[in-house]
Amino acid sequence: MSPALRIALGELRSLFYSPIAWLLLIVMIVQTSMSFIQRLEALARYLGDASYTVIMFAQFFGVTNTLQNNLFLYVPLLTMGLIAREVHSGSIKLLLSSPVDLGQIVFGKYLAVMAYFLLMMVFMLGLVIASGVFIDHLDYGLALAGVLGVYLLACAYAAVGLLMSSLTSHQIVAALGTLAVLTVFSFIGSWGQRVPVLDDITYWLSVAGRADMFRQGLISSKDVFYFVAIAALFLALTYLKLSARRSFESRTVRAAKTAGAIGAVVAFGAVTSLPALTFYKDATRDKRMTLSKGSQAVMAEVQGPWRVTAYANVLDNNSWSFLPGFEKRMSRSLFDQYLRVNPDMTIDSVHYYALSANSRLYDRNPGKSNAELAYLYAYQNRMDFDAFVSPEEAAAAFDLDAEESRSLYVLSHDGNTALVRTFADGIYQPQELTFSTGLKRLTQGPQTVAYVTGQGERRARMRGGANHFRNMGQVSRRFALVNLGFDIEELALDRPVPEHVDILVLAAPLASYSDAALGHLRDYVAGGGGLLVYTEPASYEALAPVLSDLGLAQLAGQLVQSNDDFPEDLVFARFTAEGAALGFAPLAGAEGDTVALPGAAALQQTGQGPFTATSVLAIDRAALGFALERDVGGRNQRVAVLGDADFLSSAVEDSQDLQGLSAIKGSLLFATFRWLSHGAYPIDTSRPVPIDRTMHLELRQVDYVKIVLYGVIPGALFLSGAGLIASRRRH
Amino acid sequence: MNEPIVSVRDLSHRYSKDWAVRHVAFEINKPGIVGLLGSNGAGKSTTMNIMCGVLYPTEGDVLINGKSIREEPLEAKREIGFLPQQAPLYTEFTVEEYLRHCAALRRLPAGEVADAVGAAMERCGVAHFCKRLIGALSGGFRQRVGLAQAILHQPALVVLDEPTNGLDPNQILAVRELIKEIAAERTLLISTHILPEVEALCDDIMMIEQGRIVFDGSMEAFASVVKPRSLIVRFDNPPGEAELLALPGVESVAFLGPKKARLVIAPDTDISDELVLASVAGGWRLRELSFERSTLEQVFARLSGNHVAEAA
Repeated sequence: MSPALRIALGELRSLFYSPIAWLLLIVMIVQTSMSFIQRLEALARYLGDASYTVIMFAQFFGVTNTLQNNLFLYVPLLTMGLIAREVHSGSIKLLLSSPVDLGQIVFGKYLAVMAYFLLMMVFMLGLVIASGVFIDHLDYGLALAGVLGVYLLACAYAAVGLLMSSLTSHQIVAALGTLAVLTVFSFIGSWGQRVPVLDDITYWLSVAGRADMFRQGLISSKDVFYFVAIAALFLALTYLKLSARRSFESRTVRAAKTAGAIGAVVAFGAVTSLPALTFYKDATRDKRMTLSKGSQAVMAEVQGPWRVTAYANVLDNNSWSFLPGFEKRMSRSLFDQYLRVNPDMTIDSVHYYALSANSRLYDRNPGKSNAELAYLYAYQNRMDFDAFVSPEEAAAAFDLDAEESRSLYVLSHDGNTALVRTFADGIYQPQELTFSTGLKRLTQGPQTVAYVTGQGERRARMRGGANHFRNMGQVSRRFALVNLGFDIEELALDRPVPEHVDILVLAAPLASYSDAALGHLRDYVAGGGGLLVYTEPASYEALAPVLSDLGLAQLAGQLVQSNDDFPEDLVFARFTAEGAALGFAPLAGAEGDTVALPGAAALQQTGQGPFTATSVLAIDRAALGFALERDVGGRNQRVAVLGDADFLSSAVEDSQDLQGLSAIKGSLLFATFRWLSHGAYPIDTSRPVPIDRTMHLELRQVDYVKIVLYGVIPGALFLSGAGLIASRRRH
Repeated sequence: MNEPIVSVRDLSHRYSKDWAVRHVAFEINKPGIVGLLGSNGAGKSTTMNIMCGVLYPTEGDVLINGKSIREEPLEAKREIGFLPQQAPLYTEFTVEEYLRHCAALRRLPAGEVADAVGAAMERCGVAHFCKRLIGALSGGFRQRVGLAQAILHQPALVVLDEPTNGLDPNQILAVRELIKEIAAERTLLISTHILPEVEALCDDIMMIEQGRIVFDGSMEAFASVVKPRSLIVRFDNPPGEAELLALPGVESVAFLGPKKARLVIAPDTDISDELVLASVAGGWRLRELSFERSTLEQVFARLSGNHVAEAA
């Protein structure tokens, strides 16, 4: 047996011959059990369709995070005596006079704490196994990755505690010192964020978020190496401290050795954090911490260097998320999955100021110019105002007016650029769908959708009423097609349709097209261009010639459907089985399977058209949508006709009476444009629906689990500990 | 030529700016008890801690059975048993558990641990307490357990730093007996500042003062240094100072009271017979005659060349 192991065994014996180890174990188990019970009760009442494993273990209030947060309390109490007690009692001389290397003494002490925490992890494993019994198809990989993360965190914390215990012979001082250093490690990531190089060092040193990645199922070599490096650093500092106590060294030599240890660890951290040298293991069953297949296909085209430049309007109401410090965390959560595929990425940021929609800012600072407000922002956030960019300079990178002076990201690759926007919703930052879309635009360009105007059609770039602005051209809206790979334009048919148009949209015209307009339209269709026609009862006449050319006809009048709760002109259509084969189907995770269509018109085939028609949307026998295909010049031409235009209108979205009814309108919109763009956009970043969504435990049965976790296990431990200690004292 | 058991070579150590020991050198070539004497802060514990590997020497080296504490610390430490001033005990362990743990630390082969622990407990008289928690033992038995850990691996050299410190008189006597028994088989280096202990235990003496060796010799040689040079006398009818000074060998007289005086006599002189005869002849009525023992401090002062006031 190695000397370190012998010392560890001795230390463990010493720990368990005193009440502290038993009490701590009992407290840890009870606290963790409280979280487990709370989660079980929540799941017993849960009606949603999220992964139960995520709710139990990966969420902020999950079991793993509870233990992780409480380590702050446990570690100082456990480690305070490791060396301080030996120094205080003089028994350190027994160790130092024994034929054992100082390094083995330090490592032996550390091993003992590692072994102690392993006991706690055994209990955690018990909770994972119990969850596996209660929950069908538990994602063991996800749950166990979290346990590993907590264990590594505990080991890193323990090394901190060991050092503090070597600095003093007073155990309470050591415990408080450990608490202080652990607190520093939690906040250090936000320090020095305005100082180049130092910002990277403090960000790397920060423990915040490291174990969170494990908890969410992602094991990365840089995080594992981080914990190893932090533990190694504090073990080395402990060694140096004990070594300095044994021999005379000048302060310069001591400082040099300490600096050397810190420098070596920082260098190790820098190397192991290089994206090209980082390895990942997504432990989740559904690979939810890895880019979706759709995004992976996009990234396969992004070869060589690429750049992300954040343009942050400091006057924007969410500008805090681009502050130094926040920015790094945001980047990590946004870009890490992409970096894993192509690490040759540069991230930088530009802060600019321009008129924003942040009305509170202007209300609170009447009379101040944008520049003055930006100056104030720089002062308050200790930033350099001179580094801020004026609206004119920002305009060189993107169209400020079109982008409503919002904060956004400019992606660039191989001479191409694309915008990825922030959004006026609770999430604000882009997510995988919009970010991957931006990347695809870099390599494959956008699809251009042109809404025809002039005959009273619904508009794509005009707000309000029956217009489609919110779902098409609104840049601040996450799921508007302008953010999903499409350029949204409007044009009149008084001249030929420009060649760059991929999909022409006739959105329920009220007035008939002129012959010239019909001529341009027919030329466009004859040339193989994509076409989308929305009909409404009121567009019966105006669209008749267009539909006739396509081999379709709109039935006169309006579809009605008997309904107890809603107006009869609100009809509920379903995707057809034939349509599903073409991709006209509810999106993964969509709630319900009907599309609510207000004021729809039925369609029918006339049998005279040149296209192969597939009914994709219907109510009983009434067709409400057709997908038409043919080959033109060796190219597959696609035309879609939908019996309603208002399901996308702002007025319907605003209607209190119809709230929530159009739940899968997104499915119809996405399916239609994905089919029309031949699968180009919107890209598919959907993930499999979780299968761990059943629990075999009713609320009242949780009480039995409570008895075991609150009574049997802590009670058994208490009796074991008390019995052992009492029997020894009887000798 | 046989290796000395202990060879301390030009040993110096400092904790900060000041040297705690400086150019200390000595050898121990035979079994027995060597006393390392010195006043508080003289450098005894520093020297012992370096010899046992607790401290790392700033300069110089220590060889135990030819193994350098600097070059081969692990091998050298196998040859040493150490009982520091404060016995290095784990009070939550039983005696047997503690000694087993120490045996593991001393890297005894697993098969020899039980015998070694048993023998050490027998030797130190704690076998009947083997299942008792160390925290529940008296000071004397704790010290015995400390001695047991120092000898259980049969080291060539056992270093004891003030082993009777803090014990009551009975415990002191018992521990001294134990030390003598242990010394029958090996070399003991023992530090103390109690002169009777030195006389009771030691075969050889080294004295360290202000970080330097000021005496290194046999107990006999040391005895001549320790030998008293003053005596206290009390008369019912005391003579004058001049009459006392007239006695052969009396160098000075100091009256400690109307009838009591301290006579300082020349080295290697015995004036007791002359004093009794003079008392009878002069009618001084001598009632008390006692030799004043040198304190260790006085001996330290004498050997290190510093003179402290000999007056009590």
